[in-house]
Amino acid sequence: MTTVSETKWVGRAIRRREDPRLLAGKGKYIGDITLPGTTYVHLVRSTHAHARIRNIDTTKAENYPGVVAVVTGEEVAAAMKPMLVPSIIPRLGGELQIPTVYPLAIDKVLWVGDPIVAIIAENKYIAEDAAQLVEIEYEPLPVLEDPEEALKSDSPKIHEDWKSNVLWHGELGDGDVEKAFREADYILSERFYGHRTGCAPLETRGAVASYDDFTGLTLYINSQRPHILRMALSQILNIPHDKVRVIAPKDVGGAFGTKAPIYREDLLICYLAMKLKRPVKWIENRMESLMTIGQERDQIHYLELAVRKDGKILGLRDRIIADVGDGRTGVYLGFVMPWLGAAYLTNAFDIPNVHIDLSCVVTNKPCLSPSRAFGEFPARFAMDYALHLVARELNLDPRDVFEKNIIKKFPYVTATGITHDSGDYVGAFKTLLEALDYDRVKQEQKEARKNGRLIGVGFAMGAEMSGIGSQVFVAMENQPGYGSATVKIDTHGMVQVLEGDSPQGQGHETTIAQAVADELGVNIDDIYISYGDTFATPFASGTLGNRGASYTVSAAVLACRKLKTKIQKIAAYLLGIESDSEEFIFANREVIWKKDNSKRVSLDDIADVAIMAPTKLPPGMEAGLEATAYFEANIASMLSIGVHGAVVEVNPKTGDYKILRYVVVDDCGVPINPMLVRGQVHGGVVMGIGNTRYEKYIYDEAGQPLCTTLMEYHMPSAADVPDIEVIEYNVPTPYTPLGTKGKGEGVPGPVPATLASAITDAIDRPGFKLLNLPLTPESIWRALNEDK
Amino acid sequence: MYPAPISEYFAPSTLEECLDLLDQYGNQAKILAGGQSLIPLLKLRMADAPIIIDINRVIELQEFGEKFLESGNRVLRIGALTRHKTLASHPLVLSKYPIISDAAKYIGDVQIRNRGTIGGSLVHADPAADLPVPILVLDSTLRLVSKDGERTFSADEFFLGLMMTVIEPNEILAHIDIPSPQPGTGAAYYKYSAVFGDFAIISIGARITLQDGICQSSRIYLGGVNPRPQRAVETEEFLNGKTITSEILQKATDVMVEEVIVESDMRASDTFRKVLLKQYGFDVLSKAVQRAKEEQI
Ligand SMILES: Cc1cc2nc3c(=O)[nH]c(=O)nc-3n(C[C@H](O)[C@H](O)[C@H](O)COP(=O)(O)OP(=O)(O)OC[C@H]3O[C@@H](n4cnc5c(N)ncnc54)[C@H](O)[C@@H]3O)c2cc1C
Repeated sequence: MTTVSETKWVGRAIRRREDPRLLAGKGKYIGDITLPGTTYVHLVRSTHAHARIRNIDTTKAENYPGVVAVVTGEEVAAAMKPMLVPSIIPRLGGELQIPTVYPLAIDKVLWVGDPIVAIIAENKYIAEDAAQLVEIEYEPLPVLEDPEEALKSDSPKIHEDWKSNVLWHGELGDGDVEKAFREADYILSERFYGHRTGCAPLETRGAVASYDDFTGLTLYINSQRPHILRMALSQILNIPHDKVRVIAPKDVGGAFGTKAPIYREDLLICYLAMKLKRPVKWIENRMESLMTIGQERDQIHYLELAVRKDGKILGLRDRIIADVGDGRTGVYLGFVMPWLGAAYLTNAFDIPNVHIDLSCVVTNKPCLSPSRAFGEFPARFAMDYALHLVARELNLDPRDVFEKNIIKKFPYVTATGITHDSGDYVGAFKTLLEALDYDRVKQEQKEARKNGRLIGVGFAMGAEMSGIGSQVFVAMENQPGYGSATVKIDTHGMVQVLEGDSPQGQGHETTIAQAVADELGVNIDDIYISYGDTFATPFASGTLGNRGASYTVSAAVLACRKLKTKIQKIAAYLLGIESDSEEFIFANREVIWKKDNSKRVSLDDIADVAIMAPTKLPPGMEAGLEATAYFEANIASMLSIGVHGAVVEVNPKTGDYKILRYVVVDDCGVPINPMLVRGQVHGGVVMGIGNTRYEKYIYDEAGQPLCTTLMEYHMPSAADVPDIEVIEYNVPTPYTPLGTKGKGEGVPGPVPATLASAITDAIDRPGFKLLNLPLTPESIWRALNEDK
Repeated sequence: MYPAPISEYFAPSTLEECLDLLDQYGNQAKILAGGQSLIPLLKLRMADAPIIIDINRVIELQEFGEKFLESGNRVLRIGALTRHKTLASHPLVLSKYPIISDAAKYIGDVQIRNRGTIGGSLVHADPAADLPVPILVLDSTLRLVSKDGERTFSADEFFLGLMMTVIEPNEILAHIDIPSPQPGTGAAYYKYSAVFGDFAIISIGARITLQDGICQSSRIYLGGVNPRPQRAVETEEFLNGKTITSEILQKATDVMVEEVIVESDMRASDTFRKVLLKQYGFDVLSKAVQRAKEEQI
């Protein structure tokens, strides 16, 4: 007889159920979806960063054989509401100026890549040929690239009807900051800069739309949040909700946040399908992708810390200036990321007195779009690296400075209003130092120095969001935070789970199945997961912000538990037992009475009764075996901690550095599948290293993007990154049914401060500091030679 | 990122057919070798090729090995279609011409090295490409053929500037001949790039001939620094006739950093490129000297 613990799936590093089809090249991505009669779109985009459009001549393009239609901005705008409808405008207080947004530029372009004309043709080659025949006359306007320039009152205004170039301004914080600074023994005051970088998913954006008057609009799109998009489409396009169906494909080739917003192209493709009554397909090319999405970070922090001489931080002041680009991408408007960066600025530290002034400034660049470590990447760099600078300044061991300031009591609410639910941050931190063998490395550092080798050790922390509860999310993005799932046992006793989120590589087919298998005592192969289709799945906000393991898995577990109550009643009835229902064990596809193991019914028999032979059900019981649950944690938000440490060797002659060790101590509550957690940590660290050292979206003074292919936007490959050691340090959260929390979203966050502090420790020269990302060898060489 | 219309695709199997086609279509035609530069350019519409002549089946362009010329001189002949992979790993290269492997083995990634050819790389003449530097350092000759006949250029004559060479639209690069080195010759190459397998921020190639510890002759070229690999003539002059010590190599590096004209781009500033040259110049020279002792170029 199989015991319950032998059948336990949660906690096992089983292989991903998704991988066989992906490895065999049988994944179904947006690019694989083509409907009969499909037409193809190519967009003519602005070659100027800021200009008035004087004239658009599309005649030649229209006459090119194979062109179906050529469409310009006014026509599209006339068919819909301005895109930023109230339901997708964040309500975060402060002062917000909202741009008027339509899919195509009408009389003005605001960045290189701003879409102006859509060419629709019988195939994608023709569409691109014809695009080259469109003639656009521009009248160039002054280009604003520097947000601090754009802030000046005499600066030209990018959105002419605004009173300034500030899209959002507001303040965050609490406590008596003045007093903290008055009582400080030392005040650290520095300007930190985190450059424009983020991510570049292997699969670019893409959409296929079709329309007919009876079924309405169907949009296949590799969105992270099909339900939210559906709602917005219905409102913006004035189509009844029942006539808008959004379907995210089964496989999405990575998103990292970039596929969460509501983009102008999404609306355009829908409009074109409605106009032409033919399916329309658009797949963003790599150049468009690098010109449009994945650009995040881009924050300047004027950070001040009020410090007691033992290293305790009494207060924090920060003035943040974020370059949000044109601010015209829906839901986030480019400013929700820096806002969250500010809200999470104090990271894992107990800093009671905080005042943050945040200005989100528009420039002639594409709008910021979310990227893994949402808004936090530059903030973590500033905060954690500042703690190292404090230690250096006060001649303290940085490990003591960290320990002194790490949050110790839970739940903890930061001065910016973020709730840390539970955990053992100090324990995780100490585990890292042990794993690094900190004292020995410091010893080795001294010896190496004698031989002219510069070795350094550094560390940083990241308290990453693990989903955001409705209490916060409703205000932040006008959306619920709950997780939702429907669990159905079918006529063959197999279990279907329908989730409202829409994964892009997170492995939900594996992890949700592991949790459900344990709940219902079935085999993982008995479970199939469905997602992406808004006509079939329960409403939810989408796969983002580490919601999966915390919220969505929990919803699936709760749905199972609802179902289990009914199943136990049926079992008791069939077995002829007087039972109080919760007296059964679910194992090995059987429902077993705890009081007498011989009394058992197979799940198949119960499904058969409930679905196919309802006459055998207890009198009065409703037929069917399905339940839907919406999970909301009984706390405003959950966070999961990661502590990163690195040992580096620096070549002082060139500023080049080598990562000798990279260690992550990681808490995700309960790992549903430790292999997937490790994968998330590995991927997150690699992205963090890429963002810290190699990747940068560069613009010249005229606002021309210089990194429009992967030959210029340098992402590291396996050969560029070190071995990443991962140590689990899990503290189950009491706020989810299984104790699970999310992991992966915030992992890149601690990387820049980890590397910056390690490099600074290796150089170990008074006054040497690295205040600007990226940390390229040249930038380090410059820092070394400037302070000489 | 789809190419402009391509009206004809030819895949001839003899050199003669190739030359006929080139003669017929001239400027309209583009030769397709490994496609690792041409295809991206076509997709970006930075190049236009109504006619494609795929040379991958042409046997005459696939020679590889040592041979004796009529003059009696022995050369390493590398057919234009020789793949980067062969140059990176062929036993003959590894044992006798390791500088070529130094350069070829870090070109792009495995897929690119499997497809990319030396002919394509040299004709494409990217200033930050890897193969031009060792080809220059080894005083190679390049054979161009066309309907009109054959032309032979030294590598130094072949490269004109940024992605420009002496080749005419009706010509094809057939092969490269690398002369046998004098006894006591060694050579080495190193590239510094932003990410692994990327184009060079700087690259350095050096060849040194030693006799009794004295430098008889030398050849040094630097890649990635400006529109064409640049010869470090003063450094060569500095080295020639000197007894090679580590101190001399250090000084030679300084001369090299001093003489080279470097440009800035977004990968690195001119100053930083000089920092890199200073750091790695010495290593490359030392390695060439070490190989000279082992008779490896
Ligand atoms: C992602 C990526 C990374 C790369 N990284 C590097 C790198 O690190 N270092 C490096 O050096 N290179 C790099 N390359 C370029 C690579 O080496 C190319 O293979 C090479 O530049 C071109 O060779 P090919 O055979 O592919 O030529 P093709 O692309 O087929 O042709 C290139 C040009 O040469 C012409 N041509 C080709 N053969 C002949 C011939 N026999 N006679 C006359 N004309 C000819 C073609 O008409 C075309 O104009 C990289 C390429 C890519 C895509």
